[in-house]
Amino acid sequence: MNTKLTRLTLAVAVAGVLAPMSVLAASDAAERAVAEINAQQKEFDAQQKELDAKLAEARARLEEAAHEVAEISSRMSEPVVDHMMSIYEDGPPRAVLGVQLDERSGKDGARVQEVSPGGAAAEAGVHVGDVITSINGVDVKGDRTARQVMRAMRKVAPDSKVKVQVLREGKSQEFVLTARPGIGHYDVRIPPIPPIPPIPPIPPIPPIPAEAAYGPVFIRGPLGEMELVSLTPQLGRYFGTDKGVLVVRAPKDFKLEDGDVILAIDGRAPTSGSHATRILGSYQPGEKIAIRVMRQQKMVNVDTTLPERGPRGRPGRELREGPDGNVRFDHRVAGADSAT
Amino acid sequence: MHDSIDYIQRLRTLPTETTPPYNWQEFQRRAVPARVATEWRPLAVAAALLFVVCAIAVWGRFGGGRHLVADSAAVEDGGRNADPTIGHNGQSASLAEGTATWSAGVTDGSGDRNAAQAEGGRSSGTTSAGPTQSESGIAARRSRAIESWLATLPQEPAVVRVGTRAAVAGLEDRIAQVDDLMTSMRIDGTRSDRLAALQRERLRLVGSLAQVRYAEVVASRSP
Repeated sequence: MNTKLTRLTLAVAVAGVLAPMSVLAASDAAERAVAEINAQQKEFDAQQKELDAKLAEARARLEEAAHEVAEISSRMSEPVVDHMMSIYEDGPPRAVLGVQLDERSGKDGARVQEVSPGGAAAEAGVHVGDVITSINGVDVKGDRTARQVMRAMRKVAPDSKVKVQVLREGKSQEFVLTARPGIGHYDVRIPPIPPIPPIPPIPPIPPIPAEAAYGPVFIRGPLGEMELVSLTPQLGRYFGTDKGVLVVRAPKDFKLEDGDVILAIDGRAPTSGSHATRILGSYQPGEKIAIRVMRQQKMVNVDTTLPERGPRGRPGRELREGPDGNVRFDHRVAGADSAT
Repeated sequence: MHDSIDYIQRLRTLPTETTPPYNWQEFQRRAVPARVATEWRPLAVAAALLFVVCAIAVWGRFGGGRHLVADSAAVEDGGRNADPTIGHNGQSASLAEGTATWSAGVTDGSGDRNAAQAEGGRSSGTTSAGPTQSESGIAARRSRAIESWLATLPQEPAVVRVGTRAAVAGLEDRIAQVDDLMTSMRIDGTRSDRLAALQRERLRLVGSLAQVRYAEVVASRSP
């Protein structure tokens, strides 16, 4: 009996010593494992951060390249398009719907042959194959319906609303479009005018560069960095207004602040970020602009000036015309002379 | 022993051997015309090919091919032949694209080409017909394919970056102006080479718009 008791006591004693030791050992191993995991996590985080930075940089380069694509494409199209315009343009600028019309349309209306991507008609929901039957209440029917539409558009001012009635699959539908600035009503053929006494020659008017609208100030200049968000009803409640465009990132030297909600630009109320861009794009550098904003839930009028094109403050590539007339890219840090 | 007798009996019961249909001489006689026919077959194919080539050459010299050659040249110089006042640095790329479009159209096959011609003929009441219209039709179809992709994108990203949006707006407005111009030109019955040149510019602008919009979408999804 005593022997059994002694053995039991001994076993309990051994177990009492071994158990804490094994717990300590297990705890050490766990700590080491945690430390190892933490180190791996840190390394992973660092790698992730580096990759994030590289991705952001690549996306910035992609965006920069997109700006270049837009600029170069517009410039490349200038000679052909402007030449055609010079042949067919005959009169003051007029608004466009953003469609191509079939000149062989029937007598029921003018058939839409193409819809310009991103144009006013596309934005409103007009489709290829729709037949325009009236413009602002004026019927389009009979002979030369496409010409009738073009003529009707002469009476429409850019940025004004146009009611367009179309026939789609036999059913009549009405769309309200915001007409975009056009290029002049060039479909007018004026009969020959009898000779008039010679007048002193008028110096040629320099052509307006295509980049005047949405030019460098917007695409690659100081306003290019501005970020806008169309206001939703929920956001609107937060900012104290039910309409407008929120400025997420304000440009420098433009007197707007992050968190401002643009309510009107010289009386024109922007409905979306794109619309605000288009409105701002109608101004020239140096032109004064009155912007009404909601700032910290108070209405404020901001008088500002569209900035001249300036350095972007970070390395960038700029399209420049060299002395030989060829266009090439300058990889230039603002203020530096080291063009390559 | 019994087995062998059985086999012999079986062999005897077999029918007598039939005579061959013809002997070796007959076989040789019959083989001669076949050989002659085999020798003439490639010659006949070659003659047919020669005839086709000659027919194409004659057609190219005196028929519709003349228009094809002329219009190909017009494509190569971007319609400068048609209108000497057109010419600029950027034209070459347009022309390369136009030529590529034309080549693509040719390799598309006749059905495709005919469809394009039909489309060109339908869409432009112009004074000259042929490959320029076909090219215009192909450009229109390519443009439509890009436009259908563009239509799948939202009208604008959630956060609009003014710079990129201005680039998009500039291209969109330019395309709308070109479309307006093309309508006016068609109404006035403009020459098809001018329309084709404008159609090429439109295709280029639409392609650029797709690239800029793609970049805009990618950038808007950055964290």
